[in-house]
Amino acid sequence: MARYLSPKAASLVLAVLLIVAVAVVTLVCSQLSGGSQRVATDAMIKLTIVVGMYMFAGNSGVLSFGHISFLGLGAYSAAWLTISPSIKASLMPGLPAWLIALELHPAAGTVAGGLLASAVALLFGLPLTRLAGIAASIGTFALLVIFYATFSNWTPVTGGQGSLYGLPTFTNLPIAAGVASLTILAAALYQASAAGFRLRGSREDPIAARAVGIDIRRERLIAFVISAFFVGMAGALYAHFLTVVVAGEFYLKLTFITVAMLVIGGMRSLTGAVVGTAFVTLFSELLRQTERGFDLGFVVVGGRLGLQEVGLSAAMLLALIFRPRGITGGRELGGLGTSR
Amino acid sequence: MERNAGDTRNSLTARGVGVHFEGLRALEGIDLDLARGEILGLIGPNGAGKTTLVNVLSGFQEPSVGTVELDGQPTTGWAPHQFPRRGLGRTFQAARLFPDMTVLENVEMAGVGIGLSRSQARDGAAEILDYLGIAARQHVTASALAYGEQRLVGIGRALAITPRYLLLDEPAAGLSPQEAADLLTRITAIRDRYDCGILVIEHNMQLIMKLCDRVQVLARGKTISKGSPTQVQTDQTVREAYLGATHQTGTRVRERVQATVIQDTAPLLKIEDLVVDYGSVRALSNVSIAVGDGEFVAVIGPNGAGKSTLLSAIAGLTRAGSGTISYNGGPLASERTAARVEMGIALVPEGRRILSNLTVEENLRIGQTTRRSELDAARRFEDVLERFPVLRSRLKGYAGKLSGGEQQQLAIARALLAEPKLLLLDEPSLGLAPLMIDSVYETLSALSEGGLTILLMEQNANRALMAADRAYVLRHGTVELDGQADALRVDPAFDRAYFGFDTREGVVTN
Amino acid sequence: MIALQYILDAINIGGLYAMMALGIGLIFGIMRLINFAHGEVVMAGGYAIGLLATLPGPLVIVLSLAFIIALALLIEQTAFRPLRGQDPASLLVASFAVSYFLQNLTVMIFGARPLPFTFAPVLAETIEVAGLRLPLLQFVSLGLMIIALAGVAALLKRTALGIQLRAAAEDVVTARLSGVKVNRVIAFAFVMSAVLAWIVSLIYSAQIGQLSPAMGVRPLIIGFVATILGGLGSLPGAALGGFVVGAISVLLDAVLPADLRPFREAFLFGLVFVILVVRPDGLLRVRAMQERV
Repeated sequence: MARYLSPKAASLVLAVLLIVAVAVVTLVCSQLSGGSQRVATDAMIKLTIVVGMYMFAGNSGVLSFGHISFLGLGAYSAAWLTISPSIKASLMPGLPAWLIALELHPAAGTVAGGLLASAVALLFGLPLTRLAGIAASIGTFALLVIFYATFSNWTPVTGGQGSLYGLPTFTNLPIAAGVASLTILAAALYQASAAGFRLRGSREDPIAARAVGIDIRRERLIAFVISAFFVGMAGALYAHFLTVVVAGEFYLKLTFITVAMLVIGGMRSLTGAVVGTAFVTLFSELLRQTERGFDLGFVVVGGRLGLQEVGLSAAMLLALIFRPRGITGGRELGGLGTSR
Repeated sequence: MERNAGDTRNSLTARGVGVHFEGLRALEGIDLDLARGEILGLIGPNGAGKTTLVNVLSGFQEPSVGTVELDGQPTTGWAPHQFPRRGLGRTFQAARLFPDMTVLENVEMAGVGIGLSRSQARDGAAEILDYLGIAARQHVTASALAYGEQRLVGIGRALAITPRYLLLDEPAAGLSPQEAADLLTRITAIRDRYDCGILVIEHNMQLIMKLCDRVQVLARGKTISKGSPTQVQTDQTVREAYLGATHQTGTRVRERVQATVIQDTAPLLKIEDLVVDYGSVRALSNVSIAVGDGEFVAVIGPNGAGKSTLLSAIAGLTRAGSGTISYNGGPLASERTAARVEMGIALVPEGRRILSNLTVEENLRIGQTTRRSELDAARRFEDVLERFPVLRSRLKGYAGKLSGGEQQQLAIARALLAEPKLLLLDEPSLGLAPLMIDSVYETLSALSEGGLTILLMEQNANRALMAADRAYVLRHGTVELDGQADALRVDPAFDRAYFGFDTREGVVTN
Repeated sequence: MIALQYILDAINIGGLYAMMALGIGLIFGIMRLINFAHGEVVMAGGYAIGLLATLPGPLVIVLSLAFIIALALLIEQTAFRPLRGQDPASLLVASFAVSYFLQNLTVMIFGARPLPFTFAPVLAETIEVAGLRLPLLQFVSLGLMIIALAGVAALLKRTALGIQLRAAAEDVVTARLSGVKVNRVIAFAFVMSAVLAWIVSLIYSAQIGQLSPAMGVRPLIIGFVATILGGLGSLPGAALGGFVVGAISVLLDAVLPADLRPFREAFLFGLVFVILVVRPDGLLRVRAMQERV
């Protein structure tokens, strides 16, 4: 039936189905213990990150290693805008006086985090979108390192290696799930839009795309800026979830986990981004339980730190080798959104 | 439909266009006019620069000199995506559809590309698919289409920008004769419907001659002839551009050592009913060829005839669909390329493919991987250098700096160092100056006289027929004609087998 | 005197980066794979040397070297070979996964905390040359680097396998047609890069005096900068890039005000960014490459 819907209608149906899934998970988890709720909240934030990354990477075909920088920007914005002035004055004396004096509501800080990430994405995207293929991916990686080095060394403004504490607790499961749903809706609308469609054309065949009038740089830049906005918001939520901001969070580990979610699920579809996040979260939880060690009856397998990561990277390698298009094969749920 | 030829407001024009890549002149001094409402054929042998010219006209290649004007507006500095927005549509040699998208989406993309909304573009796309008669296939994924359908969708996509000018790069390549005939009426109908100027590059001469109002012929990057199809067909310079000049003096026709072919002894290479498909395209259908021990055999055919495919199959770079290749009495099946090289099959690839970042000596050394004793290797190396004295003086220089002729010699020398029993060559005359071509052929004749078995693929028929003992004419993946080289040179059936029509009479037959 | 010290530092650091860059460049040239896991090969080399340190010196060298080569070949066979021919982005993600896998496998086995590196403590002793007090390590590493770089150059220039490697890196089809066995050549590239990684392990572990699961990341990232600087795919470029990065980081250390020094990496990657955009072929464009049509 999917094929008889207009692209916009199909993607709205898709978004609704995925959001219903998010809502069900949220409802179920909200009945569970506090620990499970935290896991679910964390997963919803990751979902926002991964769906945000998907908007750019999935539609353009250019894998980005730099989006975690946008997450960091969002988190630091939250810290700059919502920590109380007295703590700010001692932790981040390098901030301008007006900023130290400012104390916004976390919701405002979250939107500001998204906007800052978008602005930075525009600035770096202008040169970055000139690059093609592997050079583009390397460029996004350079972005990651530049921001990590800045976060962890600009002590008067970011707290450097230390942690910024004193963020108000704001992010809970419903809020995280709500923002994740919003992101899914935005991704679905974007991919059905003319701009998203043109970007997917450039992913399929850049030369043919130019020959039908598509300005690839422009389309990539649009997607880069939009996707940075949502990842930036996720960063602020993440900061209000952990209530501390530490530079070390915004580097290789989280990059690896989110890229793994995207690749394992299938980076060419929105459904893939959602499924990948769900799969990796469950798989990691399973491994985390195992990490504590368990009794096999005849032998006690000792818990091992690192098992979770080893399992995850092994799963990712297997996915690349045996299912290079991910669990979903790059298809949308029920064939909604006709292109794969 | 008549328009003033000088009216640049309604034409796509190139003036003095030249494209130079690192010293090589791919195009030089090209003038071209494509008026709305006319169909212009662009033909020429392989390497003539036709696709480069289409790339210049559509903004994918910036000309080194000269200008292109679209409806009287200079296009200098335009990005490729600006051309379609001003009414220039094009197709590609490989259809280049968006593989994971449906047929409808492929065509819709072009409308969205030039700025329509998705719903407008979708309606337009549906209408175009209906017009092309493939509406029933609109929800099929492009990569699942048959080849002929892919090409048609490619044209449909170009139509979706509502073209004032349409550039078609080999639209009939890989089509069956019936499909090609349908395409012919289709293109004429498109011209009338859109009132657009259409430029067609084609190797299918029959199609060009029937379809076009005017034909422009390129060879070695220059225009060598322009005019009506009849004028061009009977123009001897055109025939020579394809087949090579008929040498009467100065070149020795090779003395044939064994004029009668050794049909009784087992041939060194025997190919029977070979079929090769690339996806849905049949590149070779039931080709049978035999090469006797010590024989010099040429396979002659225009671009796209399947010559390179044939060599790839023999060298083990391409897998055969069905049929057998036997070599030296045994079948070749799953042996890898490297193993075949060790068995004595060496290929000099099309375009030479020398390794330009390696020195001449290193290029030669990698050909030597199969040798066992040091002494043998050294002697062999000396022998080869003896044959190619130019290379000796350039041993330490980078191979990329050699001239085209020298590179061809290097490619042959590299193959010889593997001590082949069978030497395969793919268009060794491609892109070389006539004098260089002579010297390459002298080398080949000498090697043949030395007892080496040679299988040569050529477009330049006259040159090949003068050197070879025996020849096959390959067109559209089938052997059309074969016989003794001497006989083929004067065979009246030859032109028809090669071009599909008789150049002497200018008659197009089916 | 201070200038001389800086120059020596630059050469030493540069040599280390040059070897990293070559190790990455060798694999990239032939497979179009940016091997993130190269850093973990260095890390594994450090652990191998460190854990075997109680054995006699030559035995440590032979065993650890053999282990590293075996590891590199194992990675190639299990992770990269099945993906050969896929687009460079998939290969990049795969090497990312291998890197993460090895890092955390090390955490599983040896724990996340750093271990002391005690092999050949003599390296830490200082000797006096021309009024400068220099650790012996600087001389050993200088010597090893010269041997390694000259060795790689000689292997690539003079041996059949080396020439075949360069041939396959430029054009795999032509190499095949000339009888080159591509699997062998790729294995050879991995062996060479493993040997380079081993030398880096030895020098780098001795420099930082400890072993940790993530110790390979930093040299990898800097080596990676060097590879880009030299132009991906160009081996002389990679080596040169290494020395340029070494010189730049020593220079940044010398001229940057103290509070900006920690941003060295940001500057280096800012440079990567600029190079990619302005001059994507790297600093050293291989001249012969341009002749190609």
